[in-house]
Amino acid sequence: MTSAISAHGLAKRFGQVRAVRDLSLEVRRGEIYGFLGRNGAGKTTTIRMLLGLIRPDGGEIRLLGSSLREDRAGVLSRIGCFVESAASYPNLTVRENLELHRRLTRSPKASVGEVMGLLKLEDYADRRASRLSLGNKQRLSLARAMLHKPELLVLDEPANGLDPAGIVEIRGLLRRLADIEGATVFMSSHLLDEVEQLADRVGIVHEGRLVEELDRAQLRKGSRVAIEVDASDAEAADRALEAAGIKALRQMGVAEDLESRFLRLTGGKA
Amino acid sequence: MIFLNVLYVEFAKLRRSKVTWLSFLVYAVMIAMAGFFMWIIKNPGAAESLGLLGQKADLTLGGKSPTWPTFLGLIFEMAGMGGMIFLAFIVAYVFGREYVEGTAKTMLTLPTPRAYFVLAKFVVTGLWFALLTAWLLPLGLVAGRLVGLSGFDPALLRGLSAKTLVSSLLAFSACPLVAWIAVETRGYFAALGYAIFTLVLASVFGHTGWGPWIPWSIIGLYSGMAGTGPALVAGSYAVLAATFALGLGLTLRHEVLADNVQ
Repeated sequence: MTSAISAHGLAKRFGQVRAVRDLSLEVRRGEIYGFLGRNGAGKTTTIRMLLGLIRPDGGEIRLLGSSLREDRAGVLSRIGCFVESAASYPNLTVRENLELHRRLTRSPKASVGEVMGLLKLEDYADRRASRLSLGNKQRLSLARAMLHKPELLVLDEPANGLDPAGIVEIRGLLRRLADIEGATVFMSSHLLDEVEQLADRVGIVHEGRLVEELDRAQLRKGSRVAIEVDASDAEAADRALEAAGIKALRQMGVAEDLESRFLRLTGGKA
Repeated sequence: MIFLNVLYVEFAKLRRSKVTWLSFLVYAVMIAMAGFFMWIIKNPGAAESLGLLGQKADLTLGGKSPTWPTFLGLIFEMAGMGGMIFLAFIVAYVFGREYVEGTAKTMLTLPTPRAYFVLAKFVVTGLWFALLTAWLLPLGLVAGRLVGLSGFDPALLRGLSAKTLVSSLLAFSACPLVAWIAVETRGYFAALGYAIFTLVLASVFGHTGWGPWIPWSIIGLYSGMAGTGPALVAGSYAVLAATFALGLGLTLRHEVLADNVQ
């Protein structure tokens, strides 16, 4: 089976700024892929390139086995997305916003009610989008992305604006979509704990490059072990480590969590 | 079918917008003001008691007598150059709002040809402007009747209605450039600034030999609002057709091909 997202050698420059450079991604079908990076690392630019909002300067993208250039409408009809921030037509109600999206994606009429139930928006169905809280605006954007039951969800910071209970709820929802519906979720986030709990695989992007990819097993195990050596003679300990032939006096292994790993890779302080 | 869905969506967005209804109110106020000036001139005693307003009203009408031909002529001028500016506001709103409200990125990732959105927006803009222009007629008739103007001639009304239709079409032909500036700059303000600048251009060139060749002066010259200038020639209409094609092409190019970094 083809990958849900297959991107090779992506590059994008804005003037003098190289936002993305030689970035390659392979997201398998049915997995939740967390795309981590600091502000300005190139997450949103990558997502925009994946969705055809920005033309890459170089590289190739295939979504669900097809290219946007070859079959834009066909590919986009199988994708749900939201980019960077929640946005809806402020003068329209929640129901009207979803109804317009339903028409444009040619989804069944019942899908509006279903997705409002899924995102717990029924109580706000007739409220104008401009009068929703930030969290409910985010839910509305998620509802729109999910309305046509896409095979691939591309979500840019989906937990933004949600309270802790909302984050847990959305986490459960995305997990169900992946496990039961078989949907693929590609989500960017800066909430490390959130990604660690949800993602099957994580990609860390820094200065426009994908610097590391980890799978769930590596995330749980902590793939890098810091070894603290307590030695009476530091030079001897160095030599011993180099030669790996001297028995250390005491060793304490500390598993590196995702936050530490992220900060190490992206130049932050642990 | 897909285009009809897009058209429906664009109408639905406008129907719930306050701006749509506000525009009809603004046109009603414009006609009420014109009728009020007529009433002042028709009632010199009241004009004297209002002082400056009486002088202003007299200036607006160029000293003409308060009759139906004068009033209908005034409405025709308002529909021409006034319509061009108002149309620019409408176009800037319809195209710019997607960027101001942050919905452009959603719109452009839908499985719908992007060109359909551009074309549907021009259709709803045209219909909105046509309804607004048509709205002037019953308003004008009511206002003129309330003021008690004399000299009503159905033939004059028919003639001016036809001319208003033509001037509206001429104004519409210049509007795609406003749409292009709105999408290129991702908002309303540059497009509105451009529209006001074109008004200045229309006025400046309207009195020169270049008038029949400058798109915005052509509209002013046709409606009579740019003053008495050179006569329009067949090439003037070709210039407007080219302006329309250029604006439409640039807007389509931006929405279909350009990077969206909203």
